[in-house]
Amino acid sequence: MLRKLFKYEFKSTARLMLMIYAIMAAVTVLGCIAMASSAMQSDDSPVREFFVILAMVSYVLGIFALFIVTYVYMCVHFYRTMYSDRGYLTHTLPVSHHSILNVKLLVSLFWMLCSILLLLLSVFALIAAASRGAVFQMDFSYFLSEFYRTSGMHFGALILYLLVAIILSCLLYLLMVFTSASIGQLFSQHKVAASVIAGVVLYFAEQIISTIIMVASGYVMLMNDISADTSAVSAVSEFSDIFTMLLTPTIIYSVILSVIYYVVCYRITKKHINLE
Amino acid sequence: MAWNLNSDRPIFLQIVERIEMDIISGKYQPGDKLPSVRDLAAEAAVNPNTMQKAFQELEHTGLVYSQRTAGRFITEDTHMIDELKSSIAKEKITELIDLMQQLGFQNEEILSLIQQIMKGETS
Amino acid sequence: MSTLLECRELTKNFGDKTAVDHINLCIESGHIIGLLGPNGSGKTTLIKMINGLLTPSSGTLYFKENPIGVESKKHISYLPDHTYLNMNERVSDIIDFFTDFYEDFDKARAYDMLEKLSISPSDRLKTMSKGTKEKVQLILVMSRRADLYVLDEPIAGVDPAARDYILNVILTNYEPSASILISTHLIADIENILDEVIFIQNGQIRLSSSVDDIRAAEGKSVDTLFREVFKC
Repeated sequence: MLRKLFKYEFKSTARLMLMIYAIMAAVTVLGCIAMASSAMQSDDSPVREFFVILAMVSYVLGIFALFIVTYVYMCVHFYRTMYSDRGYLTHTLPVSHHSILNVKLLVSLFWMLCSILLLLLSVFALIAAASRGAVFQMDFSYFLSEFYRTSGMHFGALILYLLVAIILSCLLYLLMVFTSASIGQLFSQHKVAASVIAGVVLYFAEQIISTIIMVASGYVMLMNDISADTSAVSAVSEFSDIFTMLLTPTIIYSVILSVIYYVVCYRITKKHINLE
Repeated sequence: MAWNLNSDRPIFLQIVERIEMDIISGKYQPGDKLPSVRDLAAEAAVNPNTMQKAFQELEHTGLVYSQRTAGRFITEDTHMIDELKSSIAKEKITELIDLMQQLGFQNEEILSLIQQIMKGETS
Repeated sequence: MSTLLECRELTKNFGDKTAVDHINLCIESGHIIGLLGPNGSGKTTLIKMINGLLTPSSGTLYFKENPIGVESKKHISYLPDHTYLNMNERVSDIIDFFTDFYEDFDKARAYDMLEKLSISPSDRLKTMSKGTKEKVQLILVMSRRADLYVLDEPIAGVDPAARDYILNVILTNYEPSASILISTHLIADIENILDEVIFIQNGQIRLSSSVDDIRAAEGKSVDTLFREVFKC
């Protein structure tokens, strides 16, 4: 059953996502051409300049569109299939509420990560085009050892850390809207408006809490610095220390909040579903 | 085509009457097999349980008998069918006479009126 | 014969409004039951609880001695009172979807009925008229070999000719051991296919009886009785 749920969830979201990815690929190609042409020629013909500007503007807009469309579409799709008329079908399927929620969450997460990956690839392509391929000749092992020497941290560890943080924050923001949609549908009228308001409230509450945590962890860091023998702390260890000290609370915080959102969302779909 | 059933009397009674008429009129011959409950219910556009009840009623009067595996059959007792025929005839005529009396006709008048109409129709 | 559905003191409140008020109800197998009542009487609320779309405020609701859940959804086939499918999809896509999720779905039967009503399986729902959409939904619901069919206003939007066909579909497509619960306010049209009726008013059961008992005792049709009971 879980496999079938995944299959249909992908099927119903793939069309729009692949369309936006195609658009993204097109503006990337356009951007690469613009980059390569400005790197090759030095004359300033107004036509070429115009083309470069146009390509760059559409590229930036494309990136914005990619993320806004991915996120907004995932939210709308969730609301539509869970709490609008189509929810009648979703909730009368012989599958558990857990399965439905998990599948929707994982498929949305998959598309968000795809969008991020696409962005990275696209930026890399742009850099490669601008440097006329020089980026491929870079001495990567030298870069790695240099990175380790100056920061006291393996580059791989940094990437892994960032990856975990990215996945968790994607998950957190997805769960946040899923929860606000679930809260919104509890109202007997103006369910969509209620969902949006619930989303705004959750977002600001989240921002306030995370600011407090940031300040608090900064304070702890400061205290540590003062108590420690400052002369013994080398500059090398400092980067990795600051880095882990900043990211670790963020990761822990994301995990805790995600779990809370998930539980709330699940309880609502199981116990308080209220379809009109 | 759904059967034309009257709306204020129990449906199963109307089905019983309808099948009785079909037997008398010869649509179902003595010894014929009746359609299944489900088929006839679908044809009449009535609930199968109601059709079942009508069949039970017909079995109860003896007009229909069931053989466990083969289904339901019309009685081969023609005497019984004739009896049913005359009892229905009597019932209908009584109804007619009652109505005529309500309209103020005397028995002789009713009789002559009937004769007149029958002659008119035949000539 | 066995008990399919059992409600005990089932209640649903919306704020301070009570939509379903301490209903006790038992549905046995092998019946076609009409759930009749004026607008806002609680019919749809009751039906949604049976299908797990609303959670009761109090009371119990059991399907085959189990609470409403994955198991009950496997065996209850539900027709909502409005369209609930993805309008962008083709009929054939939706049939595949139903085949995948409902073990009791009979694909051949669905295609057969579509053909009889000359609905093309490759058409998208959004291109269809309201009546045709309703027919498609009914075909999907009746193509399952379920234990209980719950049909909320199945004939409201279709023309009289299609109505006859739909009643025929309902009569010929359920197993003798299954039951059908039909909610409607167009009583005269379906009266003959019902064997039991439940009158519901202000969330309470006003009357529960067999159709023939009503006719024998009252000398009038259920439709006439309904008009008298719920006279405005």
